[in-house]
Amino acid sequence: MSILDWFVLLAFLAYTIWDGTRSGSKAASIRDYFLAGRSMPWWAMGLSVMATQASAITFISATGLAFMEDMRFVQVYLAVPFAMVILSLTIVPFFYKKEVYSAYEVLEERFGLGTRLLTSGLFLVSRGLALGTVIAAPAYVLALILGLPLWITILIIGITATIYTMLGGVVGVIKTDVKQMAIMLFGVFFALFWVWYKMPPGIGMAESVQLAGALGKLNSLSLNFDISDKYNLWSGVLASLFLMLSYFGSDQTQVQRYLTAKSLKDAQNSLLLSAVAKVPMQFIILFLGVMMYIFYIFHPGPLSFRTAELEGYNAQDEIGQTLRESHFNALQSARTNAALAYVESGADASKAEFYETDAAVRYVRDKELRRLSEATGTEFNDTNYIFPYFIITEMPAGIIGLIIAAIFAAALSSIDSALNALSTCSIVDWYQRLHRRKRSDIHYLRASRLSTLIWGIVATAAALALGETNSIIELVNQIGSYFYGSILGVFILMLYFRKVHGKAAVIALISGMMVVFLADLMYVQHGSMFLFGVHDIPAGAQKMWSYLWLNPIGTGTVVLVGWVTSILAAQTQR
Amino acid sequence: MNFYKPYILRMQERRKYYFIIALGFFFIMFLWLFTILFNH
Repeated sequence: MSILDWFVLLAFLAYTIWDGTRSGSKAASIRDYFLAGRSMPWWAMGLSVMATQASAITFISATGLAFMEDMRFVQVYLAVPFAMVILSLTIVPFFYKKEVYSAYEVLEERFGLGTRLLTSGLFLVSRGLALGTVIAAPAYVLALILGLPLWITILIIGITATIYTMLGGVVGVIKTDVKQMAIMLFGVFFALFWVWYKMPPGIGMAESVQLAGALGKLNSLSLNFDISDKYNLWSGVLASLFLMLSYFGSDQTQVQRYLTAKSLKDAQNSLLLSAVAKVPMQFIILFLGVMMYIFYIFHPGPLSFRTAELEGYNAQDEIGQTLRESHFNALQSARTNAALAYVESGADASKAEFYETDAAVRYVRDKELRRLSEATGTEFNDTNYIFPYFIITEMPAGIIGLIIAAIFAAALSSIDSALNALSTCSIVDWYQRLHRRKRSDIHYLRASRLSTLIWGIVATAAALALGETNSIIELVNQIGSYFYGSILGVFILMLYFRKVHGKAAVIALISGMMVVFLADLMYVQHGSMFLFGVHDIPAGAQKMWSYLWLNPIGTGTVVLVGWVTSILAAQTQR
Repeated sequence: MNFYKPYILRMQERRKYYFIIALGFFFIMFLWLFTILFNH
């Protein structure tokens, strides 16, 4: 990276801190600090909703995923428009009229304090520790790009986000999210332009699409109904609907965005912005990944996109490495020629030739990744490094800094919202609620700032300790995913089942999470179904339910159990 | 506020929501056509 790039990157980080903190001095109470005094316009909240959802990892992984496979991942977002319409007409008016701070607050009125504390507590634990991964994952990639030690990039992300979230509150979060979203969009569109610009003469957009289509990379919709398949139309519309309803309707990180709205209409419109823009944005990000694949057909790429950290391994076997690379380069140039021949003739024979040469390149790359897995003793995967490698090696000076700033922006915009939401729940659901003596506004405001700081430190420490605590964080993430569908079920019970009482709701929530836990342990092998323990999963067995389907299972169980329990309770009382 | 009172939309607002639902179906059609036309 050149000095200009460093300057752009540091200027971005400094501006973010300044911009995020400057609005904080106006806050006089937690209503200003957590709800922005209910003054936000719909477009700012809408962009913040989108920026919160698009973390750095979704940004870099999605391009990598399209590069390695195809564009089917876009289907996960097909449920967003439908989910947003449902939420705008149900839970959003409800939250807005209740004037709440936290999504779990409304549960107390119906189901009692226990349910509120249980749901809020589950949110705090799962989100608080998951935040460690949200910081560490982009920090890994950025450490490699910038040539810095991992702990420095973790500290840069953790400290920047904590400072402006602590001082600026939700206004700082939304204001910076708007700009971070703009930088991210610029990054995506510029990268797409640059890929097109750097293609050799004679290869334009139409030819690139023709080549990508021949390799099956433009596959973006699968009609195949299969519950163990991750991405198809059915899981994307039916199962993902429950995930989106739960994420946007009952996760404090998202709910808090539209609680800041100046009017109900603004709150609704902020969600509808995602309904309109989410699918196109994800489509373009995935399309960028596919176009990068075509780019590397004409500009021979490396065997592995994680080059820097491998120098040590490769130096031990210099001759072997040279041989592998020259073999790979020969295959790549055969593929380049086949691609040019196919573009020129369009004949079926040259298409088959192109497909075969591509399969040979992919085979060698897969073999190399397997070899590196054995050599390093870890699951070696370079999916998340493809886009960063492209940025560093192909982009012009100055722009590199800006696009790396976009990766930081994607990370920060997810972390700041989570920190703010964690602080809200800690203060509103726990400290303020359980503390008997009522204190002044200023006291609660100070406590909120302190709790944001503490959560910032916890999340950064979790990221720094990730090597040692990886299994704990994985476990917590898994518990978090069991929680998602089930919590939606509790909100449905609250809104639409009048007779369900507090105890039934708690029993239903716990049963929902347990059923999802069991469903996640179901495997299919040779066409038969098995239920396995955590440690005895046989090789070759495939999970029966892909992760999206766990959400409707959780919601369905909670609603059913809650309803049946309340009927049984009513009968025994009689 | 009554927990169970449904939210009632004015006619003008209703059009906006119909549009979003139509857009949801349009996205599905678009991806389907995109796959059929270009992915071969």
